[in-house]
Amino acid sequence: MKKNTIKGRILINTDVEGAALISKKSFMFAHGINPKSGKIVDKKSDIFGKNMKDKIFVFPNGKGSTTGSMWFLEAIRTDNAPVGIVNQETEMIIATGAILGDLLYQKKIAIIDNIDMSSLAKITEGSVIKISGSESSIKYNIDR
Amino acid sequence: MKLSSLEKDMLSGSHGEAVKFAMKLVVKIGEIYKAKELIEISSSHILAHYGSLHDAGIDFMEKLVQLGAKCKVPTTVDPSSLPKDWKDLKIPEEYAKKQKTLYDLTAKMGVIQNWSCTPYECGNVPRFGQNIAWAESSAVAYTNSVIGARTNRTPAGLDISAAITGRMPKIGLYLDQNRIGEILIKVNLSEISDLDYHTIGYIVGKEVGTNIPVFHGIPKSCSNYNLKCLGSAAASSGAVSMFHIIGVTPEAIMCDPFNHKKPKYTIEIDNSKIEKATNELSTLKKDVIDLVTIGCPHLSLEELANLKNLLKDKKIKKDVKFWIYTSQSVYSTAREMGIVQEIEKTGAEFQVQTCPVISPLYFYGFKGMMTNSAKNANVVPTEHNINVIYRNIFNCISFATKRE
Repeated sequence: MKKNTIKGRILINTDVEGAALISKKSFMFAHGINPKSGKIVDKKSDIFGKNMKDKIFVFPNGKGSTTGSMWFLEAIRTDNAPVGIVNQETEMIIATGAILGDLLYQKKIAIIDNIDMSSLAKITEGSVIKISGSESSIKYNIDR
Repeated sequence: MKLSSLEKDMLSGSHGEAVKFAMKLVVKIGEIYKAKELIEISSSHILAHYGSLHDAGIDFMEKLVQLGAKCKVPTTVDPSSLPKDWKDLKIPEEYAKKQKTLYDLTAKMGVIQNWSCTPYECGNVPRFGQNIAWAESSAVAYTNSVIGARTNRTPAGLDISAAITGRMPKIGLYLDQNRIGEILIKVNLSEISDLDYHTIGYIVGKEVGTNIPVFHGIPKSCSNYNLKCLGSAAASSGAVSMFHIIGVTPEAIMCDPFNHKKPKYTIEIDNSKIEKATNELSTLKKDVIDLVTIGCPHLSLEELANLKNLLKDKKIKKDVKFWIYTSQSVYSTAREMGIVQEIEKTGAEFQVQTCPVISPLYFYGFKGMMTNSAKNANVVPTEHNINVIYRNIFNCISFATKRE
């Protein structure tokens, strides 16, 4: 396999790239974000105070209320969502929000899962990640 | 994924544009989570409170209504962000209008306007073994565990899509093999109070996450109220969608809840754990409480009748609000029976069809809340920035009615 490339499973198929925002903990969208700004407001999160807008958001899995899909969808509507999401396991809440973003607003957020979080230890916060839909992979620590 | 010819027609649009739109979401979720097929569901319970749906949720519901969506199966709805008599309160009109739009949109699609987290007590009562598609984590835990109907924690958006198509991907708790117990919970308590059921749920949810706990040591005589509180707390502190209780819940009476396998591990619950968790659930150290909430999950008729007896001949003190949360159906019935009038004489107030977890309590400027609900105590400090004291119903009443 090519250097700095990890294969996964594409849920929402599109090609995007952006700066990495990394959380090592399960993440909740419901009450965990301000969907009108993209800011992380969950005080228990390890990325509290950071912003997910236009980032490639890396976290192991989702948690929290089943309304999370609508918090995510609102962030998509207001253009404050990440451009892509990289998970170990994508929860149905997040998948639902992303599919509706595509169906309702024709805005595609790339989602890839089955990515082993330990292999992501090499990714540095803020470095560029590229999600390739056609190759079902992510490429990380890209020089711009 | 295999689709029947009827389902293929639904997806291609011959059953109307709304069914086509909703079916696209249902099928895509099925493909992602590797369902072999779709199943027919018998009922749905959806989320439509503005506080969580936001404008995007309104856009989505509006789109469905424009396309002519109608619920194919009986469908109820979770509490609203507004109490029924919102005009007396501090919620801004703009916010209220958005919630009212959601009343209209859901009604147009045929959603039963009960606005309650306990539809299994009135309005939407499933049967053992039925496949249903419900949102609302506490109701999911109750129906899977206590009734033995089958549902996953259905996300907002997928819930109404299930109602419109009558279909869900056959995954998760719809499958026998995913309903087997995983972790043994030994409850070593000589006596279990009503509040302890909440606390046990809270402890277990935190420890097991999404696993299925199997309780040993809970008496057959426990009430449905106890079980709904245990489930709501476990679904809130963790993501428990189902639990078994040996000798109590149906699937644990009919067969071995572990299916002859060994539990992954065992957790013991004793008095010291209960005490520690009870303290942990109180974030407020000083008594600056100006709000007492009772009714998370929503009170049933029997719980309301009991509350009437507990409040008899008492008066709520002036500087405290004593808010009781219940569904429209329970409230109306209790009113017919005179229970509501008796309770209102004390100065306690009803918050019908809303709930302290999802109503925008931050608009009111409360300093501190006392509650007998572990779910409330767990969620309100983080979501509404109001500190909480977690006590049993007797303490709540004596605090609110005692003059200083």
